[in-house]
Amino acid sequence: MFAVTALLLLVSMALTLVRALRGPTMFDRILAMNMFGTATVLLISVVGFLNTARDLVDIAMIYALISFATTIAVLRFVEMDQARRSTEAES
Amino acid sequence: MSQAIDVLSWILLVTGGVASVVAGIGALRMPDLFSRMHAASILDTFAAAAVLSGLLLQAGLSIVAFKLFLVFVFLAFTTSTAAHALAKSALTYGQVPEGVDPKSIGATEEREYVEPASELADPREGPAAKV
Repeated sequence: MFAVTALLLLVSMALTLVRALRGPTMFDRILAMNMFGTATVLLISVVGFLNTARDLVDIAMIYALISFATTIAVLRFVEMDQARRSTEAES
Repeated sequence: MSQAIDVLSWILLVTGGVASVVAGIGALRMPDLFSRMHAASILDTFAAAAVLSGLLLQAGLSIVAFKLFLVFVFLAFTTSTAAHALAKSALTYGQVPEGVDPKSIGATEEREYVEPASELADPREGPAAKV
């Protein structure tokens, strides 16, 4: 059953990657990478149980926090970039 | 008894997997950014809760179960915060939900959306010196 769940999660990750590649805006890509991160966290936990290496949950925990930090950092970067552009356009 | 717990956890695991595929299809086929975020929230809440509680039943009473619970708590906090930040910056920079009057959500000035950071990715535009 772990294998089935892992497979379904992989299918979902593939669909999210298609959305990330297609765009059309930067926000869609950020959303897709956020989803990809969540699915990766779940996949790491499931694979840990699949291989009876249950300590992989630690890595899933760390990954959840890192993926959150990544999303926020990229959003901050996009906002700063856009603010700089709009001030340049005004001046 | 242990068999009942096994069956319950299998049901939860497969439900979570199916929910994640549904979220992926939704993210691919929904018409605009905000409805795609709705599809993404299925993965963040329902699929995560189902998969993690399915694993929780397999783990029994142990430190692994506590860590799984911790993963769920982290996900619950971080994904909602990330969704809020994403929607806020998307609204600020010109994305309007489909079927919504832009003026009704306070987007008074019409801003042309510029794909951010493209000049960093494309060296033909010249050096990105002003960052």
